[in-house]
Amino acid sequence: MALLPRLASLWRNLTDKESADHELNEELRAHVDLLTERKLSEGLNAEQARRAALVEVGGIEQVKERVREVRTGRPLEDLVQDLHYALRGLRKHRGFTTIAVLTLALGIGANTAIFTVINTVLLRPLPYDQPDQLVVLMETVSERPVGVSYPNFVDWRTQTTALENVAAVRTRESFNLTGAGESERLAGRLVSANFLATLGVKPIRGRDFMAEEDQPGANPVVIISDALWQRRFGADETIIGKQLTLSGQQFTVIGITPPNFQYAAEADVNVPIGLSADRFKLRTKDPGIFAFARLKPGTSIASANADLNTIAARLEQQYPDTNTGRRMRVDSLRESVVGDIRPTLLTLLGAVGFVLLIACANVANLLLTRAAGRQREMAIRTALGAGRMRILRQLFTESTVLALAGGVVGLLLAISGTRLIASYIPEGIPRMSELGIDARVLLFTLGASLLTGVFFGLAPALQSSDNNLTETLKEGERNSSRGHNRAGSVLVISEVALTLVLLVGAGLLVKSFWRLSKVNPGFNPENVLAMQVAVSARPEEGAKVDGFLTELQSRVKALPGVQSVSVSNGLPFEGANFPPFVIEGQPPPAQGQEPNGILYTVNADYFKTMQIELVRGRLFSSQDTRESPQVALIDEVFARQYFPNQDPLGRRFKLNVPGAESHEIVGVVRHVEHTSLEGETTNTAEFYFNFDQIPIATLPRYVRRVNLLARTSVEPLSLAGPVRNQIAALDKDQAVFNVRTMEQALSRSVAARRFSMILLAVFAMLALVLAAVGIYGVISYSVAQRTREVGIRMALGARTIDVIKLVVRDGLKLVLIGIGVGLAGAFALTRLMTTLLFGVTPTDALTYATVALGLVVVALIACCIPARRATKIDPLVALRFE
Amino acid sequence: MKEPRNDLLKGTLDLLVLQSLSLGPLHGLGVSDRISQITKGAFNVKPGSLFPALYRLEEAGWLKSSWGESDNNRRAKYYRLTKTGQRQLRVETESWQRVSLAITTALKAT
Repeated sequence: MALLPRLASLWRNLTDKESADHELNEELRAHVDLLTERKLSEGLNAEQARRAALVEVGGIEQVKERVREVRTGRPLEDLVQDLHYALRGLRKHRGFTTIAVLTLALGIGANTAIFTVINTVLLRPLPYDQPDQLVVLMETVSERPVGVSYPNFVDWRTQTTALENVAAVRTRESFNLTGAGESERLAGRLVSANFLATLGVKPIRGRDFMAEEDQPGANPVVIISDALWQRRFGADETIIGKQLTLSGQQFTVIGITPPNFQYAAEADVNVPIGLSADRFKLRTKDPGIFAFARLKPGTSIASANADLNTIAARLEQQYPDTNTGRRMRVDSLRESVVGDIRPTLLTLLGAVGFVLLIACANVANLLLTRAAGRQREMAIRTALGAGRMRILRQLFTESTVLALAGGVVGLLLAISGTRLIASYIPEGIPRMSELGIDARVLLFTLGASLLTGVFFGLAPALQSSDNNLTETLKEGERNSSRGHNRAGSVLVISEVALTLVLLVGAGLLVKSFWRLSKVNPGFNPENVLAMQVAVSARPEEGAKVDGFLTELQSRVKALPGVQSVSVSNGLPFEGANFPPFVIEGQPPPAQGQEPNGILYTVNADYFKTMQIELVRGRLFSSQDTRESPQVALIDEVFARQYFPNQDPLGRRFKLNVPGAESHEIVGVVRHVEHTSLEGETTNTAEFYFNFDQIPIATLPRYVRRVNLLARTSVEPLSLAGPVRNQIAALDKDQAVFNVRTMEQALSRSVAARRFSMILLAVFAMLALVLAAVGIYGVISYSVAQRTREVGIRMALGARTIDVIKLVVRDGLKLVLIGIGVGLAGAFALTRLMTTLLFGVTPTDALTYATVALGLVVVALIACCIPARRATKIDPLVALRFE
Repeated sequence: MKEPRNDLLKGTLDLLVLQSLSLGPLHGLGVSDRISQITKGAFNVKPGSLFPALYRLEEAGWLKSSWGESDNNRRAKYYRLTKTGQRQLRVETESWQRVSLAITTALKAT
């Protein structure tokens, strides 16, 4: 059918309804007049003629209505009418509307907030050029990723056929920026020359690295971050080509990265990794280098995997000493960035989904209650000719309007909620700086709102369209409660079941967290102040560094409130080296299979400061000096794994590097957890070298990042200032950073877990409150419906307690069914969150029982309030009720 | 709520209305007179069907209406076929003939 005339008439019908109607009127009048005239000419008198004409037309109003029906835009007209009507109804029942919109807003808002996080972290592509081509490369030994050694990386880069642009990066490097202004510790990266190019990022000023700058002995160059450029150099346009002093070395600034550029940890300076290739020349060493690459167009991850494993096999033959057993794994970069957080986020999305369902149930119940009062209205409308579809459409219009209002308020809630989440989000959740609401989030909210509207609109709509007209008109309001009670029961049961599942989920997380907090890390984190000092010194300044550290420790120890002081290289929950070693007097292990252990280089007072217990032998002492024999301590795990049923004391081992010195084991100490409380390092061997025995010549290398620790008798952070002052007084060029207590370091390691636990607990509580309100609503309504019955019972002598029992029993029956359904649901669903749990099984009976009991108590309270009200019913009033 | 309609009849009415206007503009009563005239009294279209049909056809762009004077100097709304209306009449006539031929053949076949 022609579109243009359609649109024209639609426009006219909608905008100029009055005159369209007027024209129809005129036309019909003319028609009747013409007919009348004809009848007159046939010989009837005026009155007869007119009546005959009207009879022949058959009712002006009916004709008009039938013309209106065929008019274009009639459905739209109906919609406008429904909307008017819905808005009027909602405005009239302000209390109802407010509660319904708020309930929905909470549900939709929570969903939108969590979806915003999911959208940012999981759905949006990584902020690089063609991110789907980016892959990470990992070396593995018996399936376990072991990091990447630099020489291997260089070999892959030259030999690969499946990848282009293989790049390497070592994050969490630190540099001391000295020179003009205050000295400052900068976070930095060591990167291969093609680091930015591989990601598809171009410097906003200056140029990228060139391959020849990425080699030992090349002219040192640096690309700085936009943030550093703004902050430190006031966006000075002449910065390119200037010199910066970083940790005592001169670097030429050649470029600036874009403002929004980020890769893993924040960094202000990017320095070619090739400059320090000597530092990474061992194939065995695991220096924390990450490698990533771009797949050649048309190459799959699987074929890249095969390609790199071919290279690995070749390297294995070429370097059997170091590369035996080394394999490769290629993974998408995106998966390696967000893979770990996915189960947490999906659990939270499930949780807010449940909250929204409960909110729906509550609003559905409100609507049912309201619909009961409107039964008569609907019946009258039906009697006046409104079709079933017409009434359904009007009810759905109402619920959609409600849902959309809830969606708008929910979106506002979500905006502030997302901000709240963003400000409390722990580090370690990737991509949070990109958090924001975009078109997809808005679409999600709209979809969620509309779906919600259909969902809670369904119950009342079905019910009110499905009643017997004459019955309703005859019996009035009395019989309207039957259907409502059935729907109400279903709502209560589902609410209780959903809430139970959420509470169990939250309970399991809380219990996991509690279990975690009970884990003994092997040291006493209370009252320990820790900070890192980046001592910049030239290689020949070993003696000066030694003097500085000795003087620093004695000065800090003299501060009031300090009990003991120590320095260390490597610290639990911060990082340490993981070098391979060889035990003397034992058959050499299979090549490439040398044992590894976590190495802490500490001085004598470290064990006193950290309160790590000695198991056997002795600790380091002041007798151990650079001149005396090299000694080492090992932990229980080391002793158990490498000296089973033997006495380790007096045995000797050395690092598996050329020219390493042999150390005598003089003592065994307790194992400490190194990376987390969750047991990742429970079976990892640890050993300690003596800081005071580091040769003067190598000391400057050790102290690029040295930990200064102090056990205090006062609040540790109160000493941070005084300690800083001592450092500044000794040497103002030494940068201090990462000041924290060991308790903070520990709590940071569980921050992501705490965060998801708190969020899930908040959602579960929200669900509990909504469910309680829902139960209360349904029971109150049924009490109101039974006023007459209760009145009769009381008139016949029922006591208060009987009435309470009557009401509570009905409510409790529903609650118990709901709990049964919920327990089954929790049993089925919580196994999906196994990876989020620690020290507790998904079917932990105690958690289930506690939660179920708690829910029954809350439900009982929700039932008791209306029950109490029922006892206040005056039999006389009740009997006169209708 | 719309009444159930027989699509075949509706199509027939549209066709008759278009046909009745093919000789020149008519007002509502004129259309109904013409239809009963050309169908030899077989169809007597009541206003309850006629006016919805006229409005529908006009909204489809096949008719155009304007106010004018009737033979005995009364104001009346006149309908005339538009170009697309004439085309539509041809199309519908052809398809009607096809259908009626087919049906007639089918009924004779047994």
